Amino acid sequence: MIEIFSEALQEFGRLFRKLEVALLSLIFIAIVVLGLTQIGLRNLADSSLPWSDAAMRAGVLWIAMIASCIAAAESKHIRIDVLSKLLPPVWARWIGRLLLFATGVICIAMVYASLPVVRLELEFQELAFLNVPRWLVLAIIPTGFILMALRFMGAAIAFNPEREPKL
Amino acid sequence: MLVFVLLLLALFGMPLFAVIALGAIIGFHQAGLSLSVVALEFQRIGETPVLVALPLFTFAGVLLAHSNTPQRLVDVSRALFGWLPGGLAILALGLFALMTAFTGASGITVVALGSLMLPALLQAGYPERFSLGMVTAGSSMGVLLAPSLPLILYAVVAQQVAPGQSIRIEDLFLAGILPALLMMALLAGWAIYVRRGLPPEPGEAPPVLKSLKAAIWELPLPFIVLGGIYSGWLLVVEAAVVTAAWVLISIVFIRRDIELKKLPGIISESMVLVGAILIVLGMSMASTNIMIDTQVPQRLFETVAPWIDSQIVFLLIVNLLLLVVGMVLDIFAALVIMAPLIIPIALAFGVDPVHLGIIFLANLQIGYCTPPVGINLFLASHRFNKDILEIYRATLPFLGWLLIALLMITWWPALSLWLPGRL
Repeated sequence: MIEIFSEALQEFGRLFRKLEVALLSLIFIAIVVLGLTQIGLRNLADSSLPWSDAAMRAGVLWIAMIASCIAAAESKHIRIDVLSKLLPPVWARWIGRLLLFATGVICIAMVYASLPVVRLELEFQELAFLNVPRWLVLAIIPTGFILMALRFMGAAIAFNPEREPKL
Repeated sequence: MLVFVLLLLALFGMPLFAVIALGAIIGFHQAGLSLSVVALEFQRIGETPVLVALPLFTFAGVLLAHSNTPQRLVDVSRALFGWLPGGLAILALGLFALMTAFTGASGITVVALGSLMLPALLQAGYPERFSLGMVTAGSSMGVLLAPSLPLILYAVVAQQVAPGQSIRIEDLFLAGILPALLMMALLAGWAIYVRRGLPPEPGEAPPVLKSLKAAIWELPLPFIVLGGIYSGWLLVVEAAVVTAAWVLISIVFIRRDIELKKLPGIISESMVLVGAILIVLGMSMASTNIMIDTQVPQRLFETVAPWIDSQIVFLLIVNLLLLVVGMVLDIFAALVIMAPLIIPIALAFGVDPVHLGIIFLANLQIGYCTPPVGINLFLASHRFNKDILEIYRATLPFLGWLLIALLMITWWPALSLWLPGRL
């Protein structure tokens, strides 16, 4: 039973990673295309898409959050980590797990910090660009931190903290 | 006390964004402010126009590094300038600077270009130790040249900390040119000195026309981007768009160096680099905000001011501090953590923020190759299969020259400020 569950979880994790990479690529290519269009319009037609700068900036926020989720899964976040090398391996592993768990807790704190901001924007119904509301752009912040929290905590619970977490 | 705990967490390997977030959350809580302010500050990474340049330049750099461009650049430079005395070493410096300026990541340069230049230098008769040092230390060149990401990031942080100073990215781009040339000139002089008395560089230079033709898609890029930025024809973000699109189209669609199906993987690889920087930046926007609110820089200034009697002493202390920080910290993390603390104090001492930026980045650049933990040292050791101690020894003379350059940059503000004042 547990095996089936864990296999399903792994399969889901793989699919989810593909989804993340696809979304990341899509947003990135969209930024390039928008930017090119903007430069072309400005220089050739002396006009512009008034919404494109805001859209590109929103894209950067989404890229930052999605890429951070992937970085959490691949343990590619920027760290210093000089002291744990001096510890006996058993200690280092436990401290590593503890810190991963604590990082997950901090991510959850960020979810709590960002939800009210999204809720407020939901009330204002202001638009970020075109018909895309600001709350939708900002929703990636709590979503991303939830995912990161899951990954960091998963890595903390998994036997080897260096191993890639499942989700 | 809080600072001590945070430092300990960071040193034991907690991701830096989490350490800074924790500091910001506790800071806002103690100040009786809502936690949501942390999120409000954080979301500004989606509202700062120039940050759009980050993913674009990084992608271009990573894609170039994966392609055969480094080889083509080496060929064309050897064909054109291989006859110069010490030419190959000087070319190496130029190529390293170009690559690092475009990718903003010296590590990519060590791996992508260093592994091409090392055999070429050895083949041309340079001693092994010199060649190892040249590749390791030389790869840090270019941090001070447009459109390097650390320069852009410094401008973003400085604008946040000192909004009244109107620090322009374009000024920083200009300010970095002469200091970067000074560093390269010192290392080039050292290369010519080492090369003296050795027989002329052997090895056939590739034919000029053929290698020029091979690099036909790469050669215009620096001119368009640097020319565009420095002439004011392209905004920084536009230059980034052009770079990313140019590299994408020429490498993937025209040359087919890289298969289309590998593109998502490369986009993801480069975006993870960017995401890791942006999340730290976002958190540090929040922590900077609370630090300024609670007047941390001002109190720091009042603490240190009685001990420091002149601007130059202050700058020397900043140098020492940043060299140490640059050793243990990634350049982007070091920037967003240290700049908000140091900029206000430096302004109080009357230091020009643009000059400070150049000093700042020169230090962090040197930190790439300072033992014991400079990242270039580890990458070189790993990549070239050499003992880390051997790399230390090889890099040491270069480090000496870079430190001399650093002192000159510090003592002589005009070296950085003359160009931005002119244009």
